[in-house]
Amino acid sequence: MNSLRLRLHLLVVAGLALLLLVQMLGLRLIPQTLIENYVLTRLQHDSDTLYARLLLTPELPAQIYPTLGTVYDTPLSGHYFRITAGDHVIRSRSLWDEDLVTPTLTQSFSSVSHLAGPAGQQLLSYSHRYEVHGETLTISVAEDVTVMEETVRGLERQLFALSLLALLLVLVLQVWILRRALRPLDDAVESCVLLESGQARELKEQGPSELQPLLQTINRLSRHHGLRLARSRRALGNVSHALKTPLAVLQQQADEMDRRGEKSEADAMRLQLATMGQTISRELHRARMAGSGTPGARFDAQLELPALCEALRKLHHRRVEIELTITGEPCALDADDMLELFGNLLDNACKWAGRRVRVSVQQNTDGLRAQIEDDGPGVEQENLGNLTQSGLRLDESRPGHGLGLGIVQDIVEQYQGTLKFSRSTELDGLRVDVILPIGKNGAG
Amino acid sequence: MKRFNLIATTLLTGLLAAGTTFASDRLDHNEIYKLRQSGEIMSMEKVLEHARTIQPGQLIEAELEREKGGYVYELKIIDAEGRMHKLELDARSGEALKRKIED
Repeated sequence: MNSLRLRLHLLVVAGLALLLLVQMLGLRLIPQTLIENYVLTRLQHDSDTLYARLLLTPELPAQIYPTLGTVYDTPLSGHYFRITAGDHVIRSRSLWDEDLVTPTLTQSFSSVSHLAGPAGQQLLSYSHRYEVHGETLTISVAEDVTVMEETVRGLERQLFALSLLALLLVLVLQVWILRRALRPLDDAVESCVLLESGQARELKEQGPSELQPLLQTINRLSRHHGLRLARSRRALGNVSHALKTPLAVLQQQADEMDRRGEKSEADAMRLQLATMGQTISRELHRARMAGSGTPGARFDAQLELPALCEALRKLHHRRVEIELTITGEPCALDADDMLELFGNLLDNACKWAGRRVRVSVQQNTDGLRAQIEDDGPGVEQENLGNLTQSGLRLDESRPGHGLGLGIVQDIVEQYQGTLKFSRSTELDGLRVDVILPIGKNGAG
Repeated sequence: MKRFNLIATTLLTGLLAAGTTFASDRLDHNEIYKLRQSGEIMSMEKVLEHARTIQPGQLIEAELEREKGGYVYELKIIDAEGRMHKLELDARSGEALKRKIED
């Protein structure tokens, strides 16, 4: 019930139904009254004429024939009169072998009634009380109104069907108009969803004047959001840059102290410096990740990954061949996050691989799945769980800061996805499975 | 006024008398009503229904005549083309006795 559209539809239906009801009532009453009044005027006239005829006779006759024209003479013609004075009854010839039950008036001077006539006729009857030759008599004149009633019913049915059609038409028209008028709202919702998944879109600010302020506000909010995010990212970047030099200086001082033989102090300092460096890296990364789900470019594996692979191949002196398979349509994932994720995973794979790295990506609107395998030594079963601990390096012999897989884990967690390490069955090295769903909260 | 009254009355009684002399073997509707009440003839409703199946059209005039101890309905009906049909039916059984087109 809490829908604007439904409420408006109900209102219109109720209004039109009421109108229809009033119309039906009018249709039933107005023609009926018109016809009855018309017929009654004639009946009154005939009743008066009969009265005049009776005044001319010295006493009440047994019959009046010929009478007021052929309609009262032709058998069962639908026009009848019946005159009663005590026991004396004069029937019109048209009544022939039938009789009517007419009212005998004692109190009022005239009355109107509906009678059942011969041959299934419906009669409208007018009765009037007169005084003739000192006797009180009642003259009833009746006319068959079956045809007229049927005509009125037919008219009623036709008009009702027409009104119903008009009602349906109005309803369809209203649905159409409402849909058109409220379309900007659907647009706004879609825009907000896109904004959530990292695609900024300027809303068209045209629409009903009631909706325009909302559309303008959403646009302003979207711009504001983007600006503020960029500002905070920039600020964090500045901080980390500003800290880099003092940290480097401190590092040198630690080395200096080491050379002077103060090894334990130097180690303690180095440890603290490493912690600080990690903290800065992580926070910088977190700030960037807070950007996922904010205005930013959409990730298209088809476009981005070949270039990334080529860059990594060069970085590793073309020692490693990277097989890349990508299927599906691009999905709403932040491009920066994905480049960081794939960059780290591929770099790691290339570092350990003998000659081959295999990457396969399946993307669609529901999310992204990726498998990265290498033919390197792989990781022992008992150590698979420790891979993502930042700072922990399973192999100290190769260069690295120990952050790579930790960052990958952070990104995957951010998207509420899953990250799985195992041994590759085909290449015999490490196999990494990444699943990033785009659910309702997936990009939050 | 009184004279006018007198003239009108004479005229009317004359007319009525003409009607009755004319219908020596024709029955007036009060007699017909009694015959119907006693069940000697069919109801007019049935007669007309039956006549309509024989000759559709508009009833113009109907008369009931006494003939050889029985009763015969003589109906005049105008069809859609405007021709006048004369139809004679047995008043007791509704059986068609005679049928012709009048010019």
